[in-house]
This record gives sequence, structure tokens and C-alpha cells, in this order.
Amino acid sequence: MKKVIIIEDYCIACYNCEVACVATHSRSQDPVKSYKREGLRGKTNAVVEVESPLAFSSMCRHCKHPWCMDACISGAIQRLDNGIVYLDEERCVGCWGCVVGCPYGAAHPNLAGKDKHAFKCDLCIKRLDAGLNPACVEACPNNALLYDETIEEREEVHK
Amino acid sequence: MSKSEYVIVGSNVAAVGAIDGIRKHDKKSSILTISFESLGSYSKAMLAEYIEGANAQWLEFRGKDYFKKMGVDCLFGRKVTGLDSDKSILTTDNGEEISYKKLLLGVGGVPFKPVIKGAEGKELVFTFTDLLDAEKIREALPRFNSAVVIGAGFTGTEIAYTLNKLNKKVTVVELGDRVLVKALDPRSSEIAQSLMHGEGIEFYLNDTVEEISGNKEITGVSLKSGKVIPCQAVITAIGVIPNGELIKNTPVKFDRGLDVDDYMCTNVPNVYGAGDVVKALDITDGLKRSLPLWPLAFQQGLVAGKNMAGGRYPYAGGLPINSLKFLKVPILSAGITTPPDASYEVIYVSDPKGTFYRSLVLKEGRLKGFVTIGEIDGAGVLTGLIRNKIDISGIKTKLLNKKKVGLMQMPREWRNRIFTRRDETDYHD
Ligand SMILES: Cc1cc2nc3c(=O)[nH]c(=O)nc-3n(C[C@H](O)[C@H](O)[C@H](O)COP(=O)(O)OP(=O)(O)OC[C@H]3O[C@@H](n4cnc5c(N)ncnc54)[C@H](O)[C@@H]3O)c2cc1C
Ligand code: SF4
Ligand code: SF4
Repeated sequence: MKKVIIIEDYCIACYNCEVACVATHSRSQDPVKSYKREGLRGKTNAVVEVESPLAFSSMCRHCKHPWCMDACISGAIQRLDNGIVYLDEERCVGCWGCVVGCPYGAAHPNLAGKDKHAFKCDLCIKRLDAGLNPACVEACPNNALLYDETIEEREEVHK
Repeated sequence: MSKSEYVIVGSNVAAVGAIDGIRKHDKKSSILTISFESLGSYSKAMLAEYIEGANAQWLEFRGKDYFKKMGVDCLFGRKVTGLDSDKSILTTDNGEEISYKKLLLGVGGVPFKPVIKGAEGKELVFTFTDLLDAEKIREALPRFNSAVVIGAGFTGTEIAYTLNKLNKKVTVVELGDRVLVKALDPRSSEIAQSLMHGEGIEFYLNDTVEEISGNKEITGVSLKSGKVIPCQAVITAIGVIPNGELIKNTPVKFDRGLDVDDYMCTNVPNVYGAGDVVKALDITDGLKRSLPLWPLAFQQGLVAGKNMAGGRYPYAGGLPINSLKFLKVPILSAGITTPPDASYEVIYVSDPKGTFYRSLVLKEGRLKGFVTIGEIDGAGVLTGLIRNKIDISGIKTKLLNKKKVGLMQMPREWRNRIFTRRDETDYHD
């Protein structure tokens, strides 16, 4: 399956991916409104880490064996037929099992909001259905995020 | 006599893992799951929500149609009472016989019940391990205003917190010298206790309930220390022990837990075990012990299922992970949090306001366990470090930063494999 490939040497820490992620998962679909009115600051599934000069944005790897799903006591996390590991925020009871279970720190607790629930990357499932790339990939100006087969899978195809 | 290729006694999370595992390799053969409970598969970890008023259906973590979707036959509300492992036949409480080719025991644990004088014949004495318990407690809610909870472990603190939230006066009595001893180190135990105390829960440590007084209605309990606590209900929540009822008088080996090999198979071929009933391999120290935790039950079930269906997947051991899900200040932990001897190193930070605490337990430069309070985003990275046995001598102090724990601290080569290469998570660990 295609995933978001992260090329850390190309990341310029512009945070465009974070803004795009928040906006695309908001009601307004608007970057400014989603931060200012919908209070979604920090609710990004793609998270930029910077320790200059190094920077990268990371998000859920949509694991074949999702550790987060094993730990999910409510069934909110399911692996869909297309391989996307999906967290249904409505079903989530905020037990933080996924937070402590995910080895990549890609399931996040919503601690600031009123709603106690976890959130994570859904690979922009709605955008994919519409034939678009994930929003973070689209927003990255320097190809530090690609929507593609993993490098090993690609090498296998070309062998 | 009915027949099934695979029979699973138990229908909960270990069973669900096994069904997932079997169906990865075998899409066709018949699977039968049996549970004495009426609701097939439900989340015991959500029983507190049920007591607070949630619908029972809300607890069905895989949804109503799961078994049907997986092509699994169900026998709910039936107890398995006999096992003949030589003939591969089970008997149920209505005398029916069921034969199997492969059997999984996913029968979970039973509540550990201390003998307490005066407990017999009282109406409002409860345990807290399954839906029936939760139903009884929920029904009885209007009939009591105060309760004593015996045990300050996971389920004890959880029911105490829940009842307190429902405006009951709650006192917890614990034999040990601190709360949540399995999941936390002494310092974080203290923080957890003071958080709960701040919500109005009283604690008596180093003490135990000797007698429940009253006739049919409870008037109070007396403790070993001589103290008397007036109350109207008592809940024992000391924990569960592996359920060995079914394999009594069978050749299946059981010694305070079902003995299973690397493939989750018991000493009797074709009889497997997974979940709270087994003694499972703990990856932090390589020892086998009862680890009654949700994610481990699922993973063991998955491995058992794959092997039952002809695969050959060793269970590389489980890592205990814990979340004190009910607290307002989040507390997460994994692995060894209190070092058993001096060969371990402990480092920690704690801010004086008590809103942030993190401790790391290391051995030979490798992370073996942690507790983190307050700041929990990214804590799973620490879990990953334990599982992958990565040397963290060079970065350990950075991991105590209040900042979100991230992949930045990981070795570059490891990180880039995750970022760009093949998925390496398919179950092997
Ligand atoms: C209140 C509570 C809160 C918890 N919270 C958490 C948490 O937050 N995180 C966590 O990791 N873990 C938690 N746990 C532990 C977790 O729920 C268990 O580890 C998990 O349920 C084990 O699953 P299992 O399938 O092995 O056994 P169980 O869930 O115990 O299921 C056993 C199954 O076997 C059936 N059965 C048993 N004997 C027979 C028989 N003779 N005939 C027919 N059927 C039989 C039962 O009906 C049931 O279907 C909690 C447990 C409790 C009680
Ligand atoms: S949240 Fe973590 S464990 Fe779950 S699929 Fe994503 S990367 Fe894997
Ligand atoms: S926090 Fe929500 S999504 Fe995460 S494991 Fe708990 S219930 Fe599942």
C-alpha cells in the first residue's frame, strides 16, 4: 500500500504540513478559521520535530500490525480493508492505550480539548477517495513528504 | 455431537485475537466460540463506563456483527464444564458434546477472593471483573451511599474512582504499602494516590478488611489495625488469577496459570492458551508470569490463532503497558517501573507542583520501563525503545525532557527505516 514517505534531509521546518493537516480535518477547511475559531491548534496528525539543522515531520505509519489497535479497549481503532489504520474519535473513550502502545508516538492524546479522545493520521482518507494526495504531502514545498510505496516495495517492483 | 475444526472457549479479547489469527491463514474451516456470558465479546476495560450508565452494546469493541463477518459460530450463555483432551471433546452445562481438532482456552481469569468474616449472606458485597458484576453494582447504586473497596490495584482504584464520581463516599483498603504497585514506582504511586485523595477518596494502606459487620445489610467493616469504617457496600477488587477450573483433572499443565510454549501451545498438542489464563513471557526480563492485560491477551490470541491454523509464529513475549485511564492527570507506564535489584539504574524528573513526573528504568544502557505523568504525548516512543532494546545511554537525559518525546532522539538509521522502508511491524514481537 502507498503511505507517506518521510525524507528527513529535505525538511525545511516550514510547518506547512501541520497547517494543512489541521485545516483538512476541520469543519471550515480553512487554515486561519480552524486555528482561531475551531480551536484546533495542536490537533495535527503530522508533527514537525526540529533540532536544528535536522527537522522532519512524522505521522502514523499505518502498520500492518498496528500496536495502537492491540491496545484499543473500545474498538475505536480498526485496520480498514485498504490498509488504513483508522481511529474513530466518536468511539474513543480516551484510555490512552494507543498513546502508550504506538512505538512511533503517532497516536496523540487530546488533552487540551473538552473531549477526551485520541487522534491520529487517517491518511486523508476522504482526499484519497477524491483522487487527491494526503494534505501534508500536497503542502510540502520541498518533497520531504511523498505519497508512495515504501522504498523497499518500489525497489522490488523495479527488480 | 457437534463438531468444529477450531473451538475457542471464551469469546473475549483473546478469542478475538485468535479468530483474527486463524482467519489470516484459514478462511474456510469452521470456528466455534463459546462463552457463558450472554454478550459475546465486550470490553472489560470499559465496565466502569457501563456502571456510569453506558449501554452494554457500547462495550462490544468489534461491533455486533464481528463473529458473523468472520464466519464464526457462537454459543453464548453456555458454560463448558468438561474437557477430555484425549478424545478432543468438550461438554457443556446442558450435557452437549462438542468435538474439536484444535482448541483454544481463552477463559480469562477469576477474581481473587480473600476469605472475610461476615461476607456471606450480605447483599451488597461485590467483585468487579465481568459484566454480570458490573450489572449488579449498577443495579445496586441507589441502595448505597458509601463503599469500601478492597485492593488498590487497577480494578480497585478504577471502581473506587467511578463510585466516587457517582457521589458515593469511598474508602480503599490496601494490604501493601502503596497504591498501584504493579504499574508504578513509589514516587508515582504517591502522586496517583494524592490525585485520587484530592477527589475525595480515602486510603488505608498496610491494612486489610477482617470482618464485614451487619446482618443482610452491611453496617461497616473492621480492619486488621482495629479501625472500623462504616459503609453500606463492599467491593473486592484484588485482581484476577488465571482460571484453571476447566483443566482440573486433565493432563493440561497448569501451575498458577496455563503453561504454554513459544507457540502458545500447552503440553497437550492441539490445545492452545491465550490471555489472562496463561503465564506469558514478559520481554522485559524474560520470565513467565500472569500478565492480565488487554493488549497482551489480544496479541497472544493472534499468535495462538496463527499457529492453530498451521503457521509457525513464535510469541516473542509481551510488554506490560498501563494507562490510568480514569484520572484527570494522565499517567502512563510500561515494563519494569520498580527495579527488583541493584543492577538497574533509575533516573527521574519531577516538578514540584506534581503535574509532571517521569522516571526511566534502565539496565545495561537499555530501557526496561518508564512512568510518565502529565506529559504523555509520544510516550509510545519509549515503549518502542523497550521493545527494540535500543541502547539509550547517550540520550537518556533528553528523554526526561518535559517536551513531547519524539523520534528525533532515535538513532538516525532506525528512524529512517521507519520513515522510508518496508513495514516491519507484522507480528513478530
Ligand atoms: C474492570 C476491569 C478493567 C480493566 N481495564 C483494563 C485496562 O484499562 N487495560 C488493560 O490492558 N486491561 C484491563 N483489564 C484487563 C483486561 O480486560 C483483560 O486482560 C482481558 O479482558 C483478558 O481477556 P481474555 O480474553 O483473556 O479473558 P476475559 O476477558 O476474562 O474473557 C474470558 C472469556 O471466557 C469465558 N469463559 C470462561 N470460562 C468459561 C467456561 N467454562 N465456559 C464458557 N466460557 C467461559 C468468559 O465468558 C469470557 O468470554 C481490565 C479488567 C477489568 C476486569
Ligand atoms: S498509530 Fe502507531 S502503531 Fe498505530 S498504525 Fe500508526 S504508527 Fe502504527
Ligand atoms: S485512547 Fe481511544 S483510540 Fe486510543 S486506545 Fe483508548 S479508546 Fe482506543
